[in-house]
Amino acid sequence: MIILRVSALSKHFGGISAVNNVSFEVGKGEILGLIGPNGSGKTTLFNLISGLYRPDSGRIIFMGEDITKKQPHEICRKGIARTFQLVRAFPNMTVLENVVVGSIFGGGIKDLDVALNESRRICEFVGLAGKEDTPVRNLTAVDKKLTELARALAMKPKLLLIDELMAGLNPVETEQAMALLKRIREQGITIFWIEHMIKAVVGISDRIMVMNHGMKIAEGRPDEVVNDVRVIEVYLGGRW
Amino acid sequence: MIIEAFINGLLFGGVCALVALGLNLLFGVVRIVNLAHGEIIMLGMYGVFWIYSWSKNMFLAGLVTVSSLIPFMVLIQKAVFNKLLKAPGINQLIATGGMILALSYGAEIVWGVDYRSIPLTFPIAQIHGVFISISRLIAFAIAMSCALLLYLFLYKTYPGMAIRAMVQDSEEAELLGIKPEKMYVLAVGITGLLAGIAAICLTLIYSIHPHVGGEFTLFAFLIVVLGGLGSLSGSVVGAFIISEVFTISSILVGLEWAYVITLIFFILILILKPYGLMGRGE
Amino acid sequence: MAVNLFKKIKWNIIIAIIIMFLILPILPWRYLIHVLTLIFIFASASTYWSFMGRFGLVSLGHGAFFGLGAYTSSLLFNIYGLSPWIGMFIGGVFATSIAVIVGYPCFRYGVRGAYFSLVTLALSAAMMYTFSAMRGITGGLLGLTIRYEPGLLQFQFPEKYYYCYIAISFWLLSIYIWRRIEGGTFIYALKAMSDDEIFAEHSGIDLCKVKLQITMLSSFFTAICGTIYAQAISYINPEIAGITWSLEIAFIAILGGLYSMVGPLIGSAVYISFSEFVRVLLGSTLVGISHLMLGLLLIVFTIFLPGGIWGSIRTILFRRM
Repeated sequence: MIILRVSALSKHFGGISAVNNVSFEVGKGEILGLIGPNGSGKTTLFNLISGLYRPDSGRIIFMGEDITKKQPHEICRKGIARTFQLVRAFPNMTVLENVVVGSIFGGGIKDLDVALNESRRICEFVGLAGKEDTPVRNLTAVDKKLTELARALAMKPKLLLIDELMAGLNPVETEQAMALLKRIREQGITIFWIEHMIKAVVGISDRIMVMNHGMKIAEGRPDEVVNDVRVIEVYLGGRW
Repeated sequence: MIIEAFINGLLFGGVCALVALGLNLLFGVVRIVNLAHGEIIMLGMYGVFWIYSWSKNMFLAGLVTVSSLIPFMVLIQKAVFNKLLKAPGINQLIATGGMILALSYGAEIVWGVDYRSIPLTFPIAQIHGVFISISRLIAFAIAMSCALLLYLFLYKTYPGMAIRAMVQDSEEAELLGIKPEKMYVLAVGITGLLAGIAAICLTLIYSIHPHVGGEFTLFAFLIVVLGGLGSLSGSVVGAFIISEVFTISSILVGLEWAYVITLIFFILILILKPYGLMGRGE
Repeated sequence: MAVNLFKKIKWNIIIAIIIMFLILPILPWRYLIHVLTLIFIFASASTYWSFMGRFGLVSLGHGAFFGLGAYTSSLLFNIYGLSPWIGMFIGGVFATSIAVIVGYPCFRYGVRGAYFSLVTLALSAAMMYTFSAMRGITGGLLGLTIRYEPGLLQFQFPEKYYYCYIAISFWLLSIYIWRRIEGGTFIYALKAMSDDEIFAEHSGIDLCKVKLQITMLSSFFTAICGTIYAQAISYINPEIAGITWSLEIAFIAILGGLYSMVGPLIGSAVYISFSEFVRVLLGSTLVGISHLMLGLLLIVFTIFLPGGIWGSIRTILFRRM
């Protein structure tokens, strides 16, 4: 079952094509990795899907519904949650409060106590147990990422867009993050994931998509993509 | 009647442009929203008034006023604006709002609430049946010459270019070796100069009162937003547009409703085109 | 430790107010009662202002709502004999409508920060000029006197302290409303919005709706403050809708500390007592001095003390921890 279908999506800024005629599908329950050099348009693609930018052309269909022109908060409520490349959180609120925001406004829980309980559970799930009452601005970068992720999970998403999780993690943290992603997938959440650490992406993704200069240049199973000539060219700059 | 209003509007527009340019420069270079711009001009107007009353010499009055306003603005820059640069935007509004109160009520205490005007009257000329006030014409001439000089400065001299660079992209400008602090002082000095000359022009047309500043500030903001924050040519164009809207409205529906109309026009512009006609985005 | 001291001070203020409540009828100084009434009216208006102000929606035009409330109830009473208790609500509805008409396009099209403040400034000036221009009905710049007709239904009382009671109660109401907001889910949206708008949007928060809701709340109650003022003073003029008045409402909250519940009250107490003191002492020679002082204080405060008076006290106390 296809959960997200993107057709011929394009976005220009001035004279530059950030995203150029990109089409792909995401299957329900899969982990789709998105890789590509810096500036290839990956984050812009996320911004288009999450509603931050409006595409110049093309369509985005989520669970059968056209969300191309919808506003971010509407898209959230339909079931897409995302994290940001430069980690974002509400600095003046505690970890728990951050997650509660996601729970109430994304997850649709009206009762504050229920939201609080749910949020505590999610904090535990991602590994932030015991830090719930810390103001976010006092957290380490890693914990901030986990908070952002927890907030996204509290929104009860069907599709989770993760923009770079592994940056700055040491090997132990990387393993933990990979395990966390698997646990999220076991909850039935589809994951679409931008990542620079190829090893991690190849390790758990079901499929991988590669972008360069705003275009999709390859798509398929990890072992296929990694051995694809064009992908090697993109990363290593030419045949050798 | 309308033609007269139109011409008066043009003449007034010239002076408005000067007021708006000062405000715009301050924002473009120093990135400060100065709510008290009109109050500075009001001070200038009092300066012109008192020195003229004492010396009966308009040139002297103008000279002294302008040469006092420039250091005054630099002082404000160092004492107040510098501290506001890193602070959240609300602090700028509060501090300059506080300046509005401090300056206008300070003026009230020192000089009283009576209206004053320069006892300098100019004839009213009649051209093809239309009455034109010579004082407005003179004010317009001064303002436009000043605007022209400003243009020449900005486009034909090195410091001027540096200022334009700062307005366009302050980070880039700094990388090119332009020192922000020096630019701030320069920009603020020019703002003081413009405010002083605007004060001279306005004394020719209006009576002076401690609270006239508010109107000028309001008009200045209308114009700057309409023309686009950071776009100096936009301010000039905007000045004429706003001036016409106001002058013609006041002939048609009276002064107060003219303010209401102009203000509603302003709100609409802010909503529909926050970057103005020629402005760049934030 | 410091937290307890802090809470104690807060409670002391509330108890002091309750005591004031009880001894008011006995106080022989009518002037003091008048000043207290003003203090609490302004404290209320500033508190309702801070509902918006503390989340980054800095309105420099709340006078528009204040004036609209005052003029609506007063005109309805003078012309049609409608009880100001009802006129009060109608004024509130008018104020909220204007807030929505102007606010919706602003919030929908992302007019924020200084631009938003400029819109509110313009609104306030427009409202003042409108009242001034409608001189046939409102008396223009000369102002409007409320028809004298004492009676509970007419919201007019023979003794001044009744107005003081009402002003104090209304201020307490603002605190109560704030507590209710803090205890619910709405506060999360507000805090999120003021921290990071884009992130808030991506958490499912409808920014436009949230901003509209808090603006409607703030404007409605500020208008009612206007009515209370009109009834207590029996005279209003277009100035109360204008920019100076709006700036005062905003600045009183900031002076006292806009992120706290009692901040606006403290700011109001300081500012109004000072203005009245100056007025009594120096007569009409230095009328503007309180405004001048407020202006100077604000400049100094934004540079050195961003938390206002109360915020600074709070910071000093917490530093001792």
